[in-house]
Amino acid sequence: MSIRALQPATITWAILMVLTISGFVAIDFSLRSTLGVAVVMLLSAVKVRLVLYRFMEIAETPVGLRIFFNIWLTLCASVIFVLYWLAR
Amino acid sequence: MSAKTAPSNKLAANSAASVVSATNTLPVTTPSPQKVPSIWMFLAADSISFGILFLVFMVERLKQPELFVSSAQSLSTLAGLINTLILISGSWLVALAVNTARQGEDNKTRRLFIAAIGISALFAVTKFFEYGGKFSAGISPTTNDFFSFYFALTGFHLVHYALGMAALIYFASTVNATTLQNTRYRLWLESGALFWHLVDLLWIFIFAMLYLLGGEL
Repeated sequence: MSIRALQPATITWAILMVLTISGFVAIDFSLRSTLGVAVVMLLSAVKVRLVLYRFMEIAETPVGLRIFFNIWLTLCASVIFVLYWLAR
Repeated sequence: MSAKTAPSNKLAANSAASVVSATNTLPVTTPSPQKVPSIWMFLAADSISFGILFLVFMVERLKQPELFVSSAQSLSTLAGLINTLILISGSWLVALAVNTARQGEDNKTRRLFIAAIGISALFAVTKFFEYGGKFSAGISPTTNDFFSFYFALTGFHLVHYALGMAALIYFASTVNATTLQNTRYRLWLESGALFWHLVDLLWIFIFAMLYLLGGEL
């Protein structure tokens, strides 16, 4: 495997690791404030989208499937956040 | 992952055509871009199932927030973080394995699958200690509504993880220069990899919802 072939997946992995640790730190430092939770759910949606597009190559699939998964991840992240916010 | 080297989804999209033509040699060239690969339909249905579970959990949390917050404080956020990093790393190695499989590099593909299995096995170890800690503290699925959801969500995910690990072990033990020339084998390999990525993807939301949001109102 050439280094060039390795790069996209490896860069994605590094970004995912940084985003995951950032979410952990954000929730820790914000003491689970609404803003901190919003940041965590946004980071989660970004990470899921990265996995879909960079590891699963969803861009190569029919457009309907791409729309479905984008709606799904947006709904999951936003519903979790809104219901968390309503419970406060 | 490079889209220039026979992407998995193009291969999957052409699966029906490849079965009909009954060719077991590369490359597959019959275009069928509008057809949704069956593995993606399965992944979409599975995602909906988990999405409903997330919704029901959060609605129940809305009804009894104090119970859910106090119960969630017994979860180890650090264990959740470690498991997330493990699954992301396993997913990365599987993505690399798919790339080398496309290039016909069987030895590298096998080594990457073995590495993915080795790292991903740590998820089960962490889960073993996490569940063990809960049971030894007298916490079970019947303790309260939060723990019913906790064990249902993580248990359902654990079943997916076990199936994914079985697939990785199968591919690590069967991949070779001959099998990589078989279109159907490559289709199964890439479908298995997609399933493994879903295990990672679902955990990202479970980690945020159960562990990161859990501690406090």
